[in-house]
Amino acid sequence: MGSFASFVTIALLISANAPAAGSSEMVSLPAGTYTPFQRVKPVIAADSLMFKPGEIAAFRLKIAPVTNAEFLAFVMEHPEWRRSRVKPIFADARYLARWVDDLHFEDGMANDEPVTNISWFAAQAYCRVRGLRLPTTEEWEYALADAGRGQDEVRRTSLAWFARPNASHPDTVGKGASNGYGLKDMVGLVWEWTLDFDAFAVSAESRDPNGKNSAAFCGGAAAGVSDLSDYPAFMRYSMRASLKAKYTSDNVGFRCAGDP
Amino acid sequence: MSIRVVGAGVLSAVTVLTGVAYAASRQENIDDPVVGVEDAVLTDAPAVPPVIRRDHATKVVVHLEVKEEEGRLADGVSYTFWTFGGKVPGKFIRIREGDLVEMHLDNHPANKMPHNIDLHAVNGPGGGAAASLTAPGHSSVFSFKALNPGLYVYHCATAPVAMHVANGMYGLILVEPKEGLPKVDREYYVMQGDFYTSGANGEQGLQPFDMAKAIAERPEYVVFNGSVGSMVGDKALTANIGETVRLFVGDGGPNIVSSFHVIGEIFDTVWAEGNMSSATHNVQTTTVPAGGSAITEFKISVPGTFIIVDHSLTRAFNRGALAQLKVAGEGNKLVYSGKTSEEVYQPEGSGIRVAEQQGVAPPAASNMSQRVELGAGIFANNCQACHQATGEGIADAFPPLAKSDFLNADKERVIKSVVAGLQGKIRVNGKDFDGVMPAWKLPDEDIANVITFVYNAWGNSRQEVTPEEVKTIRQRN
Repeated sequence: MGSFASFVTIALLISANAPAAGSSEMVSLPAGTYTPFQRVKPVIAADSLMFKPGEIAAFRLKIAPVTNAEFLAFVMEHPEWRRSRVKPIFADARYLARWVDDLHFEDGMANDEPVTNISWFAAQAYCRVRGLRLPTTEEWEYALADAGRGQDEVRRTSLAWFARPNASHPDTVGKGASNGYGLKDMVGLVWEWTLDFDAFAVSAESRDPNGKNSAAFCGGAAAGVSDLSDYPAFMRYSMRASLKAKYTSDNVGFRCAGDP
Repeated sequence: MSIRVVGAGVLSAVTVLTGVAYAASRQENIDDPVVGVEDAVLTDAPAVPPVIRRDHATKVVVHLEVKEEEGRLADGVSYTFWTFGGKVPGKFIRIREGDLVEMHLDNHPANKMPHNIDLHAVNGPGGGAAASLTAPGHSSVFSFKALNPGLYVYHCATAPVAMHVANGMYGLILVEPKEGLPKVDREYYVMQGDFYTSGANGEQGLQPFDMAKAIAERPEYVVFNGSVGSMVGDKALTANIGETVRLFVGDGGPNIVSSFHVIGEIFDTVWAEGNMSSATHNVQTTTVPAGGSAITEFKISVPGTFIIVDHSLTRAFNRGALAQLKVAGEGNKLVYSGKTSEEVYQPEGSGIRVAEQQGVAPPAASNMSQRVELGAGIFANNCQACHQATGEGIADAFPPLAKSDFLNADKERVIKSVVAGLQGKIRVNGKDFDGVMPAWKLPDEDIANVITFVYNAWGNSRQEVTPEEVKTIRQRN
């Protein structure tokens, strides 16, 4: 009970400070627990699926997704990550595909739109030179869960984004409201890479309830998740499962995380 | 009792035989050598690819491009559909039993979502879904051998499956039996689906998917081929008299099972649930399960517009599940006559309208002004409901009596109409009417009075009709 109270206090303090921070800045998230979307197989009593309450250590997360301008600064310093020089094993053919060339964006593409068509390798390289890393899937989901605040709005925003016809480029970052931790655009602009995006990968038969970590990828084994009505969460896990580290996509960006 | 035993014996013998045939067929199809390669001909509904003329198995290459695209759901209503090939339903795939299919699933780079494909025609994990989860901007390839003939649904099976399907990710694949299907004159592709929009049915603009309505199975739209009115008017299916029509019918769902019916046609043949081993005949309505199919065939003998519906009827009339088949040609009146007559139906068995009887002789008028006065009451009781208190009648239904050229031109015709009734096409004040007025069983005095009233009202010719005139005309008829 005591830890819960301090948890809320910290969250409120962060929330109050959030508007002053720019989108390139980081916010601190307190340690805490949350209910993960997917059931996991415990090491003991492995014949039944259960929800392992996610225990998350304190960490920092960037307020908004990395923008084109921010990523441009990175490729200026690190030419090996320019479009013409990136190694094919680190990024597929659509790496930075919507930029005009190595150092210019397409007409009308704003500096502060989230950068997309980025591979996991490129995203991780960007974070690493700043002494950071990608957030783990659990950290990212914990940040979105926002200690239970505003979850209806998260779903509404997600579904509205799904329903919106695909644009030639995403909207600019930082327009929407901050969540309780001071984070912006967690949903509604782009999907985001996570450090262990493939840890929840689909097994050979994606709808086999007994398959390894397969629970979220099916109609038949929908029993494997904590909230059957959370379609946007199914989408996030499916999207991650469809990716490989060198893949790039028009609707996938990223933000960095760091230890406290 | 002994008869029952014999019957059961025959039944089980048939079952065993069928089982043997089925197993052999599957192994034959596995062993059937694959000769050559060709690209699949794919079509958008309601078109169907051409009949397969090959007499051997081949490798068929199928490219399905997944596109997330805004399209029309109903007039003024758009929706971001997720599609196999740009339209709902997805492309129709036609292959032959024994074929080896190389399936390419191409997820367009502009898409947001990962997608895959589960073909019910596949024997394999997830019907191909496990092998085809594909990120936007990527392609997956897998192959399968078509072992079982039939008409099969395919759909996206990426979680949440229900949402991918609700957004339109389904289509049909026909695995033609080696011996082919019976020859018909026309084939069409009709697939039902249910849609869950945030706005109520008819609410205008781009409508997002409504998760709560989907989970509650409360669709705003139930439609054929992806939109309300996809096959009506200029887009109606067509056929000619004497032709046999085959409908490849699917139901993508995600939830609603179809009571598939063509109003005014009996299906001569139904391959229920898309199976190719046993046709049934003379079927009125066939069930098409969500994630299932049916093939219906019927020879058309009568011209006209036939309405295709989900006979769970509020879906047809309130949610959009309605299409048209327009048939041209000369009809056979023996098969269907059309309307031969229309009369007022009197449960008493009389074609004559018996007006209220008072049991006493009606008061007799001694002059024209009394006649008008008495006639007004008779009009109010017997005529006003149709011809209205103003004498204006009702447009397209009941002709006007006010300033009526029909009335003023011929007094005898008017008397005859009231006494004997009037039926068929007439022209009054420049407008055509084609209805029925019953004969009125009223005393001659009353008929004289009411017609006199009408002639002296609303700018008519101020004539008088006497009971004697009524009697004369009654006797003549």
